[in-house]
Amino acid sequence: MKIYVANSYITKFGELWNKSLTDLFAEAVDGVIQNIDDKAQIEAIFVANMASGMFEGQLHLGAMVSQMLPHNPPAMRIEGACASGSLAVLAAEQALLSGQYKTVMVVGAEKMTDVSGNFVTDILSGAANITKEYGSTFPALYALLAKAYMKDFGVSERELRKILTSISVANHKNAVLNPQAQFRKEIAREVVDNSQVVAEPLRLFDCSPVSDGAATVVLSTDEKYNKKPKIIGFGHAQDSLDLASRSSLSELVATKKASQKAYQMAGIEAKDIDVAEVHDCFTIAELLAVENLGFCASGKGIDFLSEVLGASEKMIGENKNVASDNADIVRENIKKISINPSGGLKACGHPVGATGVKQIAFLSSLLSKNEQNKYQDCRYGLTHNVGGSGATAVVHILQR
Amino acid sequence: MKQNNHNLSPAKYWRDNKSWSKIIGKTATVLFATNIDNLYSYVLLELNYDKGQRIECMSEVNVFLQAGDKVVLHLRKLSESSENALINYGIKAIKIYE
Repeated sequence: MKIYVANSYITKFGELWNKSLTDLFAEAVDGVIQNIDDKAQIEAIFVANMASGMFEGQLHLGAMVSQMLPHNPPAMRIEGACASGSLAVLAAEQALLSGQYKTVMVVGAEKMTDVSGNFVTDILSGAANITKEYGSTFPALYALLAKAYMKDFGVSERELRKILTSISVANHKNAVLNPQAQFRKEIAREVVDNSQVVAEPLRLFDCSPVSDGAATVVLSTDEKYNKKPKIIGFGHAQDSLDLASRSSLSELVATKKASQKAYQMAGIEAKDIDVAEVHDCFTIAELLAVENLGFCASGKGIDFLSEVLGASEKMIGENKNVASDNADIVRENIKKISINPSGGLKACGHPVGATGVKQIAFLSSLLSKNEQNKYQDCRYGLTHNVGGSGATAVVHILQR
Repeated sequence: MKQNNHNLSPAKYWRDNKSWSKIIGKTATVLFATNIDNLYSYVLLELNYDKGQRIECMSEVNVFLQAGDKVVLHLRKLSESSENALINYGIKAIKIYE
C-alpha cells in the first residue's frame, strides 16, 4: 500500500484572536492548493473537527470547506473527539484504497479560544461518557490513569512526578524549533514541579493547552508523487468510552491494538520507528504511549523515557558523547527514536480537530527534508492520535 | 461548583434517574481518586454488593477521598442552584467514617 503525502500545511497554533474558524480552514486549504496548478485533481475533502457546533455554532463544515475550492468537490466531516484528525485521514485512505479517488485533501481545524475556559472544559467533557462520567474533567480522567499506573507498576508519586516533568520540559524544548508551535519557550523543571495542581497528580504544565489552529494534507495514490513520503500502514481500534468499563487502566488497549495493526500493515516493528508524534494531551499520556506503542515493555516507560529524553537533551546541546553505564542503549535510543519533535500537543498546541492531521503533516515534512540534521537518517515515522480518555486510537506509519 | 457535562434537560433527567434507584444506599470502595481544583474528588469505585462492577462519580464538596475509602452512594446536588434552570441532582460518593 502506498499513499503519498503529496503536500501539507500547518497554520500557527495558539490563541489566534484575529482568525475565525473559517479563516483557519481557508488558510489551511490555501496552504496546499496554491502549489497545485490543477485544483480539480482534489477529488474529495475530508474535514476533521470535534465541536465547531458548540464552539462557534457552525456546522455543515464539509460544505463550507468544499466551497473554498473552485470546483466544489464532495466533502464530509468526521468526528472522533481528539482523534478526529486521524480518523479523517483514515477515511481518506479508505476512499483512496477503494479506488474511488486518486487524490484527496484532509483538513482539520478547531477554533477553541472564543469561549471561556469553563465552557471549553464543558465542551471537551462531551468526549467522555456524559452519563456515566458526569463531574469528571479530562485532567481528572487522565489523573485516574496515572493513579492506576502508579499502583499497577509500583511507581511512587515522586518517581512519576520526575518523569512527567521531564516529558513536559522535553516537549517545550522541541517546540522552540517549531515555528508553528503555540509555546516556543523552554521551561525549567521547577516551573513544572511548582505549577498549580489541576487534578492531582497532574499539574498545569502536565496539561496541553486550549488552542486554535488548522492543518492540511493532500493524499494521493498517483505515482507522480513517488518521491514524497508515503503512508505505509495504519491501524484503528476502540475501547470503552468510560474508564469504569475498561479491562485495564494502566494501559490504553486501543493504542496497543491500533499500533499492532499498523505495524503489520507496514511490515515493520516498533523498534524500526525512528521518530514519533505521540498523543501527549497530558504528560501521563506520553508515558502510556511509549509502552502501548511497543517502544518499550509495559511498566518500563519511565526507564525508557529517562534514557531517551535525557539523551535528547544532551544531544540537542551538541554533545553526543553521552556518559552512561548503559551507553550502548542510550546511543541506540538516540539513533532509533525521537519523540514529539514538533513539541507534541503539550507545547505545539492541541486544536482538537487539527491535531491528527498536523501529526501527519509535520512528520511528512520532516521526512521529506534533505537537510543535515538529527532526522536526516530517519526512515520510518509514526503518528499516534487518541480520542477521549483512550476510547479511540489511530496509528499511522510513514516512510521517507 | 460549576457542573460540567451540561445542564440536564427535563427529559434527560427523567430518563437518568430511573437507574439511580438501583444504587442509592449501596456501599462501595474507592479504587482510584483524584482531587479536582482542591474542591472535590473524582473517583472510580468498586461496588461492594457486586464485585467487579465499577462506577465513576464525584465526592461531596470539600471531602477528599483516597484509594481504600469506604463510601455510600446517595443523591446530592451537583451544581449551584439557579432560579432559572433545573436543579441538578445526581449520584455522589459519601464517605463512611469508621
